[in-house]
Amino acid sequence: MIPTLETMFQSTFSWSLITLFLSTSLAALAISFNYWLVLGGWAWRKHQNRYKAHAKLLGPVSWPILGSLPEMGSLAHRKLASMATSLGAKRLMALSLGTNRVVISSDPETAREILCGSGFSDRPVKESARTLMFERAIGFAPYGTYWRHLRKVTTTHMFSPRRISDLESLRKRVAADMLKKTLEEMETKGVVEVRGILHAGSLRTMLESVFGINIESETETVLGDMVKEGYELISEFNWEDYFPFRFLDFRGVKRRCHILTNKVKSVVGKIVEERKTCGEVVGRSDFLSTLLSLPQEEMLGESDMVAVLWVRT
Amino acid sequence: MLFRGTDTTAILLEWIMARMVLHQDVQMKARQEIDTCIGQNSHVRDSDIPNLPYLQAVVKEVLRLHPPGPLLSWARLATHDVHIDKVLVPAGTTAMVNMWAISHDSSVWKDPWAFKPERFMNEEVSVMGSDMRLAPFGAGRRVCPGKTLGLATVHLWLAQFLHRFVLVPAQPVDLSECLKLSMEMKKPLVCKVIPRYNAISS
Repeated sequence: MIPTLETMFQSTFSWSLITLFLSTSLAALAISFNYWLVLGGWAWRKHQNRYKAHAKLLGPVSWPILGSLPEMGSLAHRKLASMATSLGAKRLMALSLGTNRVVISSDPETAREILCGSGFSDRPVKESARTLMFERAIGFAPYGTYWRHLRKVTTTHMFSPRRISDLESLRKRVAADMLKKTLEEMETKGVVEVRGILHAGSLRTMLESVFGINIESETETVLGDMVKEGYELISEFNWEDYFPFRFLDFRGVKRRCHILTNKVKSVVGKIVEERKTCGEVVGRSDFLSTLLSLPQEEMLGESDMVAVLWVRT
Repeated sequence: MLFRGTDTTAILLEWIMARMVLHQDVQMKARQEIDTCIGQNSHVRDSDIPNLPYLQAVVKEVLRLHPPGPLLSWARLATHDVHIDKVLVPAGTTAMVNMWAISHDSSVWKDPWAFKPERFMNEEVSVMGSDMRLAPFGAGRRVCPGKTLGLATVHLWLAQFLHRFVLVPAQPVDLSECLKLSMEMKKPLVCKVIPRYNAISS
């Protein structure tokens, strides 16, 4: 077919459009290289100028947008350690994880400054952790009156030496049970996979020390499954934690967190409610009874109580 | 309570047992200490643990080589501009500690890759957060509040297992790691146990 003047014009026009598009994007890419090439990754870009007067910050030049996220897999501790060694940045290494600026210490002295210094008293809360009520529990609550109160309640009533020795008989009972299960598995299968036995023993100890001995086995299974689900959700990679967009829930983590949180509130809330109405909180040694028998001025609100019982640390 | 207390204890004990299967000499030495201290016919109690320094050294050595929280699990947030080592760390920066890197650093630990509980017999090293060469529970205000209970549980259960069973390999032990919320063994430990005597079986 002989091209008409019109089609020729159209095809030339579309070609020139494509060429124009390609060249602009190439130019944009070249210019943006400069934008992404920042020591420690691009999340540090905004602060670059501040380092002209100060000591230099060392860190890898990492991927655009993602920063060092690709390195943060199941062996992150090893990869970060070898990066710090090869860059000579053991004392302090700067990284970008998405839009988050991060510094990492691989050295006892700077580690002490981070862990014990007053400048780092808060913890960043992952989105999934926030939904799962970690914010109201001691590990994540911002430093302040509520945190100090929680800390006092847990150190005096949950982890005091007396409390630990109160729990000795429980820990011994669970140990005897684990030894029995180990022997049974050895006899039936010829080998033992200890993980399941240890995990069940650990969960049993925790449930009894928190709620007391009279937890129905049905509730125990439900609580066990909830702990497992929570563990999986917290370990899930969540885009929202690294980029300031609230709609990036590709993997449904947020939705699952909400469902789990409601379940926790209803199951743990019900146990708290039952214990309150049965009224026998004095003289019992489990942590829930202890929380319920606190003097009025130290008493936690109901939802905080659920959060504290659920999360720990 | 439920959430963080459950996994760490179980994961640490699995690592310890893997090392016990792998290093039969260490396992034997730890068991001899238990036998000497409490005899064969009685149960181990919390109050026996201070008399079992080698058992405690074994736990420390596993915490050093396989810390359940190698990046101390949860990072900190700079609440205002801070200087670390004369370097400015702007407010809002996340700060982490790679405890695994410190505990595997040859300028901090002699022969860091070797499993040698004996290193803790010669030198007193606290794991509770005062010595930054080995602070698996973190340190400072945000140190793990359950550390004492966690350690008491691990010591008691380990002592009871070693007292009752000899752990022997069923297949080669695979020490591959997988970092999730805690650092777990990638492949679950599978081993055999030989009961030592039946007196305590009830």
